[in-house]
Amino acid sequence: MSNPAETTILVVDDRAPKRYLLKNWLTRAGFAVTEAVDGQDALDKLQQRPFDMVVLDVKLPDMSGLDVCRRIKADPATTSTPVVHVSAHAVDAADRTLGLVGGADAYLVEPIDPHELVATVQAVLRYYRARRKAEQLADGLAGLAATTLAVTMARDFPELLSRAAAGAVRLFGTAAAVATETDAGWTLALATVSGDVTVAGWEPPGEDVPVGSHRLTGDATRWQLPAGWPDPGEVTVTTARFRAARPSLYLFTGVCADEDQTQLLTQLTQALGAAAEAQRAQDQDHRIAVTLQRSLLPRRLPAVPGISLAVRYEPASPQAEIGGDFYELSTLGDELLIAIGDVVGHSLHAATVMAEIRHALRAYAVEGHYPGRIVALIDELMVRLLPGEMATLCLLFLDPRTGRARLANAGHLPPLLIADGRVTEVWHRAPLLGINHARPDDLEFVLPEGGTLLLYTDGLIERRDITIRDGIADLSRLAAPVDADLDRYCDRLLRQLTNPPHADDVAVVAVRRL
Amino acid sequence: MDRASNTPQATHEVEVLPDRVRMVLVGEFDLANEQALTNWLVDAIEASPGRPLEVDMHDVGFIDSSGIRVLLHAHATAQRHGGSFRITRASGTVREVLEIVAVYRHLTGGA
Repeated sequence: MSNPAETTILVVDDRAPKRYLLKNWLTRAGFAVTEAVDGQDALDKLQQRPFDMVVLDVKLPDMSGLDVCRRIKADPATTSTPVVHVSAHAVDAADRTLGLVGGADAYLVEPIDPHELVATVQAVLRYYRARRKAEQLADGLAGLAATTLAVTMARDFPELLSRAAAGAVRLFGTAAAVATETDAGWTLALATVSGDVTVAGWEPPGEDVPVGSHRLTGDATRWQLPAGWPDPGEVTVTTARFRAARPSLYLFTGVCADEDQTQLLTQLTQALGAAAEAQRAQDQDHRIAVTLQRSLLPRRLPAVPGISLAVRYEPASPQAEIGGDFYELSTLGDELLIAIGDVVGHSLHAATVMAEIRHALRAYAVEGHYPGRIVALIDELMVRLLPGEMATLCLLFLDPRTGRARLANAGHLPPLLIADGRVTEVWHRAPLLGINHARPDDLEFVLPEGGTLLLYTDGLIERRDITIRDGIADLSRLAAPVDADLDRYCDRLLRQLTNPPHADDVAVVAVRRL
Repeated sequence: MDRASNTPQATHEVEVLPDRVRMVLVGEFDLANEQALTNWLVDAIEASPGRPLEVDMHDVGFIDSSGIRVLLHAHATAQRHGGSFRITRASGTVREVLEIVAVYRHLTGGA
């Protein structure tokens, strides 16, 4: 560990015979010695490369050794380089005190005994090594904490793995790669010392990774690291696996032999493994929620003579939470029931409230109520049984033969009626559901032959940089003309108005009277 | 880049007047600060029960459905405490969205 051959000492003295003596004694003790002839020469050499110690004459021709020492200690790059003063003069306690106050670590007065010199140098070095080790450990732990935090805050696996690899580069000073199994298969992020990070698919080795934390060193080719891995030689691989049924996590670094570093490696790998497990759980939650929400929406569209239909539901991105958008299309006798709505809140809970509202809506509709009455009944139901929940809902019955429509809105965005290339906003202002307020009479209008009704949720038009009015205007501009194929029509509107990943979920319903 | 930076900036100031409590809201209100807004309003109502609470919305630039829900809850809570709640000076997008969900009159004391 403390091989003296690696320990370099800068000897600063203007007198050549003295330098020769000091160099001779120190070299024989196993140190590598470089010489400097005056203060400026010493400061220059310290700028060029680090030394483990400076042995510094107090009296130099160009400046005082005390000043040289002060400048060494004032420069952040050299502040932890120990300095041992040597003095040819008969000095008193006050001079020695001045030297030590100026930052020197020891003060030797000629005539210098070679054994005392070497023993003093070794004692000072011992102290500095212990101090450096403690500093490195503290730096390592701080780096570990910073990387753990960055990784925990990642929104998805590519970000998590990238931050993990970049953090490992900062901690260990070698290229690093982190790999685990994600919902997109095995993925590896590689970070180089220069700061480049790449994320790509990866084929893990066939061998089984044991449960727990393990570390081994081997040839890089064994793990099929991507082409960007800088040194094809030996790598240290640390793995973390929490249970046999869970995927493992690999951390690749250059060879780490130092005991503190290997401990840090193990700690980092365990923290990364835990963060990957949390990310996996979060991805799974989102998948379950989206599956549930889709299962709560109509599975089939009804076939209605004289009517063509299309719907789109786009869940919010995995980084956002689940939304509460819903729609309903069903036939009631000769009429078509069309509804769209949005439960306030973004959670699995909002999705279950959505399901309750949708089922209540169908039940009241089957009982034969008209739209305004159904809306009022759902409102009352929510106040009584789902206190605190709120939702918007736009509900209408359409007679496909005559095009006569009867609509009740509860705080939802106005449907658009597109006929003969003209777009009309169908406004019917009434409060959202959940506060049990008085409601106006239903709105009656006619959907002419060839006309299209477009219902949507705020995910299609709401952006923070524009007003809702402008959002509706943008949609109106794009909503006419209506594509011959309604599915294409919905896809086009989604493509033109939204920009994945969606912060909010989006539902669109298009109904055309043939 | 991270989630924290997505949190909209929002602040509030409360002024207790002899005949009412006045709160000035500033910023954007959505799911991210729904809880904070709830706490501010409920604290103000509970600190001066029975005293009318007036919320100045002039400097609110955005409010989404979560924020509207909080306002409606506050309205109900104030009434339960024997007081009243109304918003004032809502404009632009905020007023527009309150009118679309048709609670503007309700929240301004008009209905």
